[in-house]
Amino acid sequence: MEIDILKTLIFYGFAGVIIFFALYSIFAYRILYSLLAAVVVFFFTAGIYFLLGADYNAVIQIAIYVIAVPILFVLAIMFTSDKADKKTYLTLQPRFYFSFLAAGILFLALIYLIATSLSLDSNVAWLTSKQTIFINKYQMFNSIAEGFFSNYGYAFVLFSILLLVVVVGISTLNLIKERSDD
Amino acid sequence: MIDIIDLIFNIGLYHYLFLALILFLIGFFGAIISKNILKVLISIEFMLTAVNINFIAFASFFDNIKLHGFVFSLFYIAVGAVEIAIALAIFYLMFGSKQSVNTEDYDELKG
Repeated sequence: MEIDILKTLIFYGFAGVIIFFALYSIFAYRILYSLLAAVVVFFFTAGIYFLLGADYNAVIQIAIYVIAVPILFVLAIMFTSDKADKKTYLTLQPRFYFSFLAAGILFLALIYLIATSLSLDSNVAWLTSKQTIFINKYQMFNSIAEGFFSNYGYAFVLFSILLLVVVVGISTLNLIKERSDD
Repeated sequence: MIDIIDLIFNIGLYHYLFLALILFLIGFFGAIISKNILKVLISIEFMLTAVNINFIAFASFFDNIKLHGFVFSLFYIAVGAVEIAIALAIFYLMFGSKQSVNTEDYDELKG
């Protein structure tokens, strides 16, 4: 039995930080603290990607979720006031208990699904926990480039168009607001 | 006993799947119980991140030659960013008329 202690410790450390700060983000009183906790979650998720050998995805995750998206959120938070935080703290209506129940049932259902559907093929190597991840870095960039520019070339172009549509759409929304203000 | 120690300390696909599952459910729970629109959006981002972990974990363990999961994950990150941009633009428009971030104030579509 070979156990990579360092990798295990790093995984459990990252996982603990992710779960703790995700919960803190949900239950934080002030929305700005909630956002900061979410940034920590996204940053350590990039660490999980790194553990899985996806360095490129980790860098993109940090660039978009740790830098770009929080800036948008901070701009939105600046519209709101401290008084809003008090009014909009968690609700204790019946939907709270319903959501707790629904999340619990979903948790059990997904555990059942993971434990049964994936273990049908008992010859899969990772079931014995012996699988180690080895991804050659040059091969990773090769595969990503090949994916973007040959296998998923049309999807890549479609996403560029989608981003363009979003920019035009947001400008149109602002235009509609300006006209309605007039 | 050795099997249990092996299962706990030898990190495999299951560990990543369970981490993603817990993060997804925290996001799901937060999206329902939060009254602040911005917190609901943050919770939805948690759910997107959990799905991304699954994409990358499956690609690493099953497809470490072609790595399609990595490419899909990048598309998915783009979709997440687009979703946030549109959601915040709509939030800005709605906030202009109601001056509130409370989801319960926006009940015109109840019928």
